[in-house]
Amino acid sequence: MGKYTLWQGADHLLHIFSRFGFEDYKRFYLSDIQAVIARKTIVGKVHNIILGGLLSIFSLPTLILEGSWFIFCVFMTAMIFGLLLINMYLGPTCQTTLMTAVQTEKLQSLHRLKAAFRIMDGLGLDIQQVQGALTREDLFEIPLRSGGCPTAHGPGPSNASPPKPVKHESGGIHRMLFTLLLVNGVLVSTEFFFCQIILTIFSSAASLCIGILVIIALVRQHDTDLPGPLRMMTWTSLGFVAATFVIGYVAGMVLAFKNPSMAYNQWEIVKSISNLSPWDSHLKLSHNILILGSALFIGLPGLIILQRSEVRAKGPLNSKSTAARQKAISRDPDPG
Amino acid sequence: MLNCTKCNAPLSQNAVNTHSLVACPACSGLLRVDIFPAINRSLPVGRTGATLQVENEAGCFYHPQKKAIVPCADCGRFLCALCDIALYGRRICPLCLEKAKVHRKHKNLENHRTCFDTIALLVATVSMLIYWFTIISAPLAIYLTLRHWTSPSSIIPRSRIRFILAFIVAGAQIVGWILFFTQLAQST
Repeated sequence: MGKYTLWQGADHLLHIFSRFGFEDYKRFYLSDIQAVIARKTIVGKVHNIILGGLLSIFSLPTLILEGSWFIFCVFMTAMIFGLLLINMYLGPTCQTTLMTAVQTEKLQSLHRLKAAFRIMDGLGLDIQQVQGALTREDLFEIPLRSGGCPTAHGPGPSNASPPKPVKHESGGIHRMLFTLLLVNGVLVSTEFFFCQIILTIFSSAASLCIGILVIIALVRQHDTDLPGPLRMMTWTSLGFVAATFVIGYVAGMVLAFKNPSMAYNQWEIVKSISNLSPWDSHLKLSHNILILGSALFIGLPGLIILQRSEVRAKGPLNSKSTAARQKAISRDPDPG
Repeated sequence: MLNCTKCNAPLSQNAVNTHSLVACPACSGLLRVDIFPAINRSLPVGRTGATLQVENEAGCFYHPQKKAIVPCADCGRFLCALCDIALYGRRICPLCLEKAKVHRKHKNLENHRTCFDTIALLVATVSMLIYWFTIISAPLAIYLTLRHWTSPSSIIPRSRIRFILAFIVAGAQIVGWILFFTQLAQST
C-alpha cells in the first residue's frame, strides 16, 4: 500500500515509491532507456461497470423509498455518479513498462493512457537528445529470430518467460449464456401482459442457469482466442447477474417483511411474486426492465459477436495462420 | 528482447515507434511501443584486471595478485581494473562507493529516505481515529517535529508544511487534554 510517482531529472527519470513516510527511489538514466511500452488494460472499464452497477443499485430504491432513506440513496447516487464521470473523463487505463538492458520496470504512476501518451511523447524527445534519433537502419539492425519474427538485440531481461500459449475456445458456453439471456428476456416480457406462476418459475430457473453459465464462461475464456468484445460482454453479464440477484433478494425480503405469515414458505413467496404485476410494483418493474435490458444489450450483441467471430475464423484469413497473426491494426486510444 | 507485456509474444518491427496503439498479434492487446537507439547497444564487457607479472609492481589493495592501475580518489588505495569504479568523473573503490551511499555524499546514490515530516503528520492525524491514543501520539508528533526539523526530507524539494501542520494538530490535542484534565480536577 503506497503511492508511486515519476519525476524527470536533468539526465534521468526518478521513480519513487512512498508509503507511510518511507520512500524508495529507482533511477533510470535517459542514456540507458531502451524502450517504453504502454499496454491498454480493461481496469478502467471494470471500474465503470462496477460504478454503473452501484449506481443502479442505489438509484433504483429511490423509486420506492421515502424520507431519510430516500435522501441517503440520492446522496449515494450523486456521489457514485460523480466518481463515474471522473473515471470516464480520465479515460482508459494502461500498464506502462520501461525497459533497460538489465531490467524491465513497471511504471505504476502512468496508469492512464492519455497521461502515458503525453509523457511518452515528451520523454521520447528528451531521450532523442541524449541517445540520438532511431534511424530505419537501426530498426533493421534488430536481428531476426527463426520463423521470420524480428526481436530486439541486447540481453534484455534474462529471465523472460516463453510466450503463453493461446487456447482455442469454440464459444459453446457463451452461446448458451447469451441465448438464455434472450430467453429470460422473452419470459419476463410476457409478465407485462399476464402473470403466471409457471413463467416465474421458468424465469427463476433461467436466472439461476445464467448465473452458473457466466461463471463457467469466464473460466473457459481465460487465455483463449475469443475476441475482446465477447469477453467484455461476458464480464458485463456477471455484473448483470450480480445486480439481478441483489434485486431479487431485496424483493424477497420486502415481501417477507410485508407478509410475515409467508416468510418461511418459499412457495407462497414465489406465488405472490408471480401474482404481482410489474405495473403495480416499482421493484418488479425495475427487475424486469433490467432483465429486458440485458437481453437486448448483452444477449443479442453477444450472439452477433460470436457469430461474426466464427464466420471470420472460417474465412480465408484463418486465425490459425501465422501471416494473419502478424498483421498489425493501428488504432487511436478510444474513451474508456 | 521486445515482447508483449501481457502474453510475452515477440513484437514485430511494424509495431514499434508508431505513436499509436497497435494490436499484439498473439493476444490482441493494444500496445504503444517506443524504442530508442540504446536497444542496439551491447553492454560493455567488464574488465577483470591484469595479473601482476613483475614483483616490484604495485598491486591492488583488494586483490594483491592483480596489477594496480589507478588510486582511489577518496582513500588513495591502489585499485585494479576490477575494483576501479568511475563515478561522476572520479575513480573510487567499492568501499568508498558504499560509504558515499551510506553517508549520502552523492544524491544520485540514495535509494531510500525516511520522511519524518510525513511520519509526524500521520502520527498527529491518524491517532485521532481513536481519540484517547492522542495522549501518547501528540507529544510523539511534537518530538518528531522538533527532533527532525533540520533532517533531510524527501529527495524532491518541498517545504516544511507537514511539520508545521503536525505541530499545530498535536499542539491542539495537547491543549485539549490539558483542558480535559483541568476540568476533571475541578469537578472532583
